[in-house]
Amino acid sequence: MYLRRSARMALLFGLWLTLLFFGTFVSLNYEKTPARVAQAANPIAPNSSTLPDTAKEFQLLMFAHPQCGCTKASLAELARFLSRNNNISTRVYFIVPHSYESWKDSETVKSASRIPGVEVTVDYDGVIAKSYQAAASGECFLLDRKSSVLFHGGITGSRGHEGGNAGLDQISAIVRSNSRLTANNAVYGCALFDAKDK
Amino acid sequence: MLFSPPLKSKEEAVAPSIYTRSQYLFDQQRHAIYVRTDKLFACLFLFQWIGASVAAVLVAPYTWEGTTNTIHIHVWQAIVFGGIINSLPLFLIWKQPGMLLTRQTIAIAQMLWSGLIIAVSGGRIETHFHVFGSLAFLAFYRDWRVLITASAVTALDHLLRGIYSPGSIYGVQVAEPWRWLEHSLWVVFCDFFLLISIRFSLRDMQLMAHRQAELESSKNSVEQEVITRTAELKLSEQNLRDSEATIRAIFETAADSIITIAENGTIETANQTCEKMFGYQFHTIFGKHISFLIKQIGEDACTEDGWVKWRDNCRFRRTALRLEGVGLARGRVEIPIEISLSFVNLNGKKLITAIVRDISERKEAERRVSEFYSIVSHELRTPLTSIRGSLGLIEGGMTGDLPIETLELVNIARESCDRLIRLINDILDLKKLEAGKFEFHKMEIAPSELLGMALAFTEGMAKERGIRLEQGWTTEHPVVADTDRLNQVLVNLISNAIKFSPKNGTVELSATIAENAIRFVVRDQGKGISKDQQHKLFCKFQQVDSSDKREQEGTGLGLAICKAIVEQHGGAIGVESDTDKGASFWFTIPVSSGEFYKPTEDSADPSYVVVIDDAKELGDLLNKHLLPSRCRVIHMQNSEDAAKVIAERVPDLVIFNVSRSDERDLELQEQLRALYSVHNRPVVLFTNSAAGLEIPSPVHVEWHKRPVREEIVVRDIKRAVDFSNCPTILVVEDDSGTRKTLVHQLGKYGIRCLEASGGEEGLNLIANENPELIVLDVGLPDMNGFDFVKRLREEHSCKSLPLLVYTGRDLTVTERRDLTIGFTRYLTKSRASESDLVNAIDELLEKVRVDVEAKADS
Repeated sequence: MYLRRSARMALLFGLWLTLLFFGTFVSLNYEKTPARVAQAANPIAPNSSTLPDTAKEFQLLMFAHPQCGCTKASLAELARFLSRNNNISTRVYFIVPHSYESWKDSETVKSASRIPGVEVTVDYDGVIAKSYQAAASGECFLLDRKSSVLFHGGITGSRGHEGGNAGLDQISAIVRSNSRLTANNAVYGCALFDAKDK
Repeated sequence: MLFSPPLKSKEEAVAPSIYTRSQYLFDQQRHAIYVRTDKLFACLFLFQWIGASVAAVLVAPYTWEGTTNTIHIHVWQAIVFGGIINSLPLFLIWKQPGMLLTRQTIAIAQMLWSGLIIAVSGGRIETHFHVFGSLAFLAFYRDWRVLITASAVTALDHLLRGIYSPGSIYGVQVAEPWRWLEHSLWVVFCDFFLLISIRFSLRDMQLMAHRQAELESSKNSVEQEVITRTAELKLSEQNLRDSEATIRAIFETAADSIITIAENGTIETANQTCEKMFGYQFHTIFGKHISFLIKQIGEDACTEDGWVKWRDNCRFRRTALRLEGVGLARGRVEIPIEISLSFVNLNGKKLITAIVRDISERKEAERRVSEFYSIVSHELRTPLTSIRGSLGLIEGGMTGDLPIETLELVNIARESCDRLIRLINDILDLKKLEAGKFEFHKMEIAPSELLGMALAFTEGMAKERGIRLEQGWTTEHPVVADTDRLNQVLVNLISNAIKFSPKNGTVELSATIAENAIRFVVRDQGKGISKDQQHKLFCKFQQVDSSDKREQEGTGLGLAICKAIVEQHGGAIGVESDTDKGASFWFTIPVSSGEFYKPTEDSADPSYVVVIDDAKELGDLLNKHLLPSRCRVIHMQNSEDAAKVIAERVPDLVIFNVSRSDERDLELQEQLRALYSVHNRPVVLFTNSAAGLEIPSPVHVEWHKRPVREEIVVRDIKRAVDFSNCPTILVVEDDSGTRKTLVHQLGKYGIRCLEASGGEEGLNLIANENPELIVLDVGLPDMNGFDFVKRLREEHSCKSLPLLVYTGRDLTVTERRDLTIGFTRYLTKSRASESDLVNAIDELLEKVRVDVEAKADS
């Protein structure tokens, strides 16, 4: 009786641990799965008018979905980066479909607007984003004065997670060394466009 | 041993039950804490689950793809993964709360929640505080094991996620390999304080459990004590009720009346016997004064003042006061009662308890016994006295010389009669002594006089047996005693000493003063009495040698009587003896508190006594005894010289030791006859037989057989000197035998006797013959002695008549008082010898003579 009960408890306990591992695995897997973005971005900005301030040495563009929760982490990382680097002009494009006009007042847009040195621009129907071939919320482009793309990718280590990451480290390195090296990084965020629009 | 229960103290070692109980209480309390904390964690799990889900929904409910959205995986993560985490601990809390497995599962789940929250927050350092909060919450269990498990899970989580997903735990993409250790050490740091707290908490719990166990034990002890005491109290109450019922039953059914009386004499309670005895219902006597029921206590009337006296008497006595009295029954009927009064102090309430017994039947029985004794005394002693007197007269030769064989038979008969009389007297004496009815006629007397009397009584016996009596040092300090009774004791002891002494032995007498008492000692040289036989000496009918072969006769009552007499004098009696070393019988009598005894001087005039005897022995003897009486004794060795001396001066007394030759001396006979008839002088003859002498009867004062007994000779001579005139006395005696014997006995002494067989006849003779003295028996046919004396008192001329009451009864003081008229003496038949009788008559006549002379002088 005691053994049967112990066995039952052991089975139960084992099942529980299994489910816990499975859940953990799914969570980690989701967080570590990057968005599908263009592997090779355009080396030159398609339109200089899309750049915020060409007077500065570097321009950083970020495309974001106004409803994406994960983008908050990207904005937080952006804010942390900008607090240390002021020679970069930064613009965040929020892709707002015309039929979702209200999205431009979302909490994510507002929080982006509160970041010093960030210019928030609504990109209706993602025209500009599409010109850059941007596909995921939080996808960034670092350009120099010649509108050459020095960096392309995300600035978080996983979906929705703040903290040190390779993308931000690469941007910092480019800016600090003032080099013309190019770099890419995975982007963790929601898709900017519907699947049929891609 | 940090978390082990406290070690057993000495007290616990000696009280294992308390230790066991404290352990049980401790375990119970711990289990309660486990269950309670399980429930708190159940709430926490639900709260965390709901909170995480709500937060997920609020922060990022959807994940987007352009304008298309789906539920954010975080929401699923919170709901599903949180649910998985909660599932097992909640199930265990539900199914087996308080178990170790449940606690451990809870610890793992809670730390997983911490990991989840840290992960969801992207490894924000602030969310790491959830770990510390969780540990603190787990410390509620006060079980160090859950902290260890929780800490281990946390450390493992940090280690694994530090490797595989450092951003989810540390918020950085790359973490140092030792960082999990740093976090784990902080956890251990937190654990350290929590464990200390747990230890103190457990110790406090242990202490409280121990105190509770002690308290319970004390409570149980007290409760047990209360139960025991209550049971005892109930038992005591029951016993008390039984006791009360018993006492009440005894009280109500007692054969005697029991009355409780307040100090002021009012009746407070009385039993049913009292109601029956006195004929009153209790409510009629309640509150009344005790004098309502008791008329007399002792000799005092029970008035209100009289009651105060008895109450105070009771108060200062330790024992009950027992008295006879008179009760008053309904109708004022007097009943004889015996009342016992005792003082009772009941918690300050002072009461007198009176136990009253109706002694009507006892009084009647006593009266009957007294009557029986009276009858026995009279009916036995009277004929025996006659027999003894008659035998004595026959033995003395009054009826002429008897053949030797006849004389011996008469002697045997007389001695047997004496023994029978002694036995009857002893039995009657003992009965009376035991009943406390023996009346002592005490007077102050010197021990030397007592010893002298006793010696006089026993000297003849001693000489017969060849025993020498020696009187040792004797004090003159007087004692207050009944002379006759003390003499009886001494005579008894001396007789015994003589009987048991060897021939030519010596019996020593002494009387010394010792500790406010005179100690009389009679020491013999007999074979002694062994220690084991001494104790029965003073018992009734006990003799050391009770076999048929015993050498000495006796009733076995003598020493018992002696003991009773001595004890009733307030003294003690005993014996000191050893086998073959003789015996010393002693008794003590308290000394008199009065002055020393001073013997009265003999007021008799000097007398001129002529002794005619061919031997010098009688002359010396008389000189010795008569000189102190101022008698001048002339000794003549032959009758011729005697005749000359008598012719020269008429002597007051002639003592003539008659020999055979003298019987034929007609001249001397004629001279003696003339001496009596002309000069009215007595003559005392000592002879074996006076048959040959032709001398008138009155002259024959006494015949004495040889060897002569000194005290008898002296007594007779003294009496003879005074018998110059022959008195006439009246003998009132219904028993003709006794009467005749008395007449003969007294006739020897020249006393003329008038005889009366009844009271009326006696009164007539008094009126006609004017006797000088009356010898009265109490039991007369026509009127008893009391009535006779009453009649005498009524006659003025008879009031001064001397009276000798000569009866077989032992008279009480009251009876003596009722029989007294003028000079009165009392003799008991069979106790009094012939000489006692004559002495008493002498004494009474002498008193009358002195009284008459005194009146004439005045």
